[in-house]
This record gives sequence, C-alpha cells and structure tokens, in this order.
Amino acid sequence: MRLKPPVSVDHARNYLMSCAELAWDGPQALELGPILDGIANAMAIVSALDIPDDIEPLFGEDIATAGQEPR
Amino acid sequence: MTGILDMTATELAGNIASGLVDPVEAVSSYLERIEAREPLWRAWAHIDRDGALAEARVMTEEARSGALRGPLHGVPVGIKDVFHAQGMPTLANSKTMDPNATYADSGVVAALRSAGAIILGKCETVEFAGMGVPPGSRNPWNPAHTGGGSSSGSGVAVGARMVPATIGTQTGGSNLRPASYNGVAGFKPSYGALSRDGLLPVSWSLDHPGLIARSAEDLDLIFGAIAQNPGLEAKQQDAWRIGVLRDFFFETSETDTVAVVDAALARLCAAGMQVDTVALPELFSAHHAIHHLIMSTEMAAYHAPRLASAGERMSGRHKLLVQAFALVPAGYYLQALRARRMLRDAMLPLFDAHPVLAMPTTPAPAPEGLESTGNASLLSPWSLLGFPAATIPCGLAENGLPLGLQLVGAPGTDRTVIQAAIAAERVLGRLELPA
Repeated sequence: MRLKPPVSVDHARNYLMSCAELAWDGPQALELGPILDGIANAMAIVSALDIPDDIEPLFGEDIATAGQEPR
Repeated sequence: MTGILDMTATELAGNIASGLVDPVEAVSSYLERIEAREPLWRAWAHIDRDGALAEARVMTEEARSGALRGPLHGVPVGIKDVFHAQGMPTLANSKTMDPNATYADSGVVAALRSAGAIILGKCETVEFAGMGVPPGSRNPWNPAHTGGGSSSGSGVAVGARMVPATIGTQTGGSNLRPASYNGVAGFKPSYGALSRDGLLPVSWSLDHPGLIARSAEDLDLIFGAIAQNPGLEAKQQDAWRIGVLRDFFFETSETDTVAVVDAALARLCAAGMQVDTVALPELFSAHHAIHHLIMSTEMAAYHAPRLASAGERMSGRHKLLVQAFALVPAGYYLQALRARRMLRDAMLPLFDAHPVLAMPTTPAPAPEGLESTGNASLLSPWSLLGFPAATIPCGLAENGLPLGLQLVGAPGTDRTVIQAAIAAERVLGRLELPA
C-alpha cells in the first residue's frame, strides 16, 4: 500500500477489504467492515502528514528515555 | 480514629506503622466488605483470602516487633488481572487463558511485596485489557452505569471501598478513566517508570502500569515505593503555574463536564495558582490516528498466535479486532511511529512555562449500561506520548456521577505531576464515597 501521494479513506478501505478477503474468508471479512473503517480513517490521516526525512520512528524504549531533561 | 474502610492507603500505612491498626484487622475488614458487596459490584476476578490473611498474620508480628518491610507494610492492594502474581491465576477475562497455569510475580507485584503490600487478589478487566468483552463491573455511584475500563475492577474496588489501592494499566485511557468514573485518584506514570515485566501486553510501546487510590498522597506513597524509574525530583513550586488545554479537551466535553472542571480551576486560581490557557500544536489533531495505527498493529502481532491456536475460545469481538488489526500495512505502522516523534517534539514546549497542563479527565461521567466502558479520547494522547498524567475528582455531574480533573507533565516529571495533584486535592477536597 502506498504512503504517498496521500490515500483517501475510501482507497484505504478498499485496500483493507481486499486484504481481508484474502486473509480471512469472505463472509468473515464483511464482519470486519466497521473496524476497517476506523483503520482506513487513521491511514488517510497519517498518509497526509508531511514528515521530514530525518525523523526516525519513536519506539517504546525511546519514549522511556526521551525528554527527561530538567525543565 | 477513622474506620479502616475510610482510611487512605497513606493513613492505613501510618496507623499500621504506629501500631494503631494491625494488618490482620485491615485485611479482615476489606475481606468482609468484599464478601458483602462483590455480588453487586463485580470488581474481583480472584480473591486470595487465605493467602492474604496468612501474610497479614506474619506482618502483624513483624509490625509488633518494629520490623516493617517497607512504606506499604500491611496495606492490602488489588492487582488488575493482566499482571502475573505467584499463587494466583491470570485470566485476563479470556477463556483462552489456562486457569491452572502458575506464574512468577510480575515486576509490579514483586515491587509491591517488597514494599510490604499484601496482594488481596486480582481485579476484573476488559478482555486482555483491550476492546473485547467488558467484565460487568458496576459503578458504586450508580450500579446502572459502568465502572469504566479496561481496569474496571481496579477502579470499582477502590471506589466501593473494597481495598485502599489497586494497580491498573493504561494503553489508551484504561487507568485514569475508571479512577475518575469511581470518584478516586489515579496516576499513569511516564512510560517505563513502572515495570511491564509479567504484564500481558495490549501494545508494547503504549502500555503503562498505573495506580488507583483514594487520594493523591496515596499515589505519591505507592509510586515512590514501586517505581523502577522514578524520574526527576519534583520541582518545588512557590505558586503552581497550570496551563489549561481548552482546544479539543474542553471543546469535545459535555456542558456539565466543562462547568464542573471550570469551577474547579476557578477554585485553584482563587487559592493562588496561576491558570493560563495554552494552545495545542496543529499536529495534535492527528493524535488519535497515530495511536490507533500503533495500538492495532502491536495488538495484532501479540495475539496472532493465540488467534491461530485458540481463536474459537476468544470472544467474537476480540477475534474480529485481531483479524482486522493484522491488516495494517507495515509502512503505516512505521509512519505512525515517526509521527509520534514529531508530535512529542511539538508538545514538549508546552511545558516550558507550565510544569503541568490541566483538562477534564473524561468528556462525560460514566455512561449508562455495562457494554461500553466509556470514552478514552482525553486520555489516549498521554498514553501515546508516554507523558505522566494524574486524575483527581473535582465534582459531580448533573446526574450525580463523579468527574475528574486531569493533570499532565513532561516525561520524567512524575513527582511534579503528583505534587500538583496533591496541591490541587488540598484545595478541591476528596469526594465522600458511596456507602
């Protein structure tokens, strides 16, 4: 699935539904619809963000140690 | 002397240390209360009656000889049923867990025992502390309403005076929300401040063990006793400077929540605290999407083997969530983790002039019914960012249910946030819990 150009909610949802049909059986994939809507919405929002090249992922261990300087 | 059931953990610990109360009296009082009230409130997944009494007898002798194990000597505590504790099952409200399995103490339980706490039992949870089946824990302020979740039993047990303090967890809003809904204090420390060893995960990089107790002073006592990373010393405040986040947090709250929290802030202002409005950065609007992609991906990865081996014993809801969450593309997970760093960097300057930020804990009081455990939207940003957050009760909604004031600090300033909560609680007072 592409990140850029930004994807729409519908595009993300269609992608997720096609994946669901492949990963799980057809009738069960339909039951996933409302949950996939939430994921598709989140994907569209994150896809639209402009993230500078030098920004690295913030994993859990990084959160535990980052930003603890006195203020 | 206050009755045992009405003591805070701090008062109980002090009375045990000074010999006014012994641990057997304390444990017996709470067990009697649980026996009488548990059929209605449903806060407990497992009660270790014999083990707690045996431990209390030993600790009573130790207290009499002046040999206190730590600051929590003889204080009963409840543990959310997603932490392992030696001699007790871990069921996580799921039929996929083996009730006969045995476990070593989780890091938090070991730290509590070292500090002298007595583990009274395991508190009810939403299935795997996620978004599956709720346990049916009822709100002691009105049993037709939820006690919150996913640390449902942890909140209800303290609010119903069945135990003075509990341990919960928060991945979105699961610790502070039940604390607030039940009219008591809660604390979600900085990410990593409390051990996650022996905790069944929802999402590794979002999970925070948390505290629920009768008072903000209790949070200070317990956090000080069990933190593996207590962070920076509390910054001394001559006059607290509080930044109020009106964007989003007040805008999305119900009218009577806004009125109650505003009234509380006015009282803090009248007591000499400086209260200023602070604006959120634009990127904050993406917080829910970022949180959702991180949580869903990590949750699906953890539960994938369980889905394959025991999916038929998962609840239908949990199974669907794991199946759907498994479909998030890897690139989106990593992009969400990068966006989290950007958001964290954009949020840290808010603390330059204000050591704590204030806002409602929840947009509304506990909803009616037991199917939903309520709204986590005002809490999940701080779980996403790993910032410490506390809640103290600040009044009642029009329907008579408690509302909370949430205080948030920069990472590592846990003690400052707790001290701010103590200062605010001294002004606002504590709620008198239901009989």
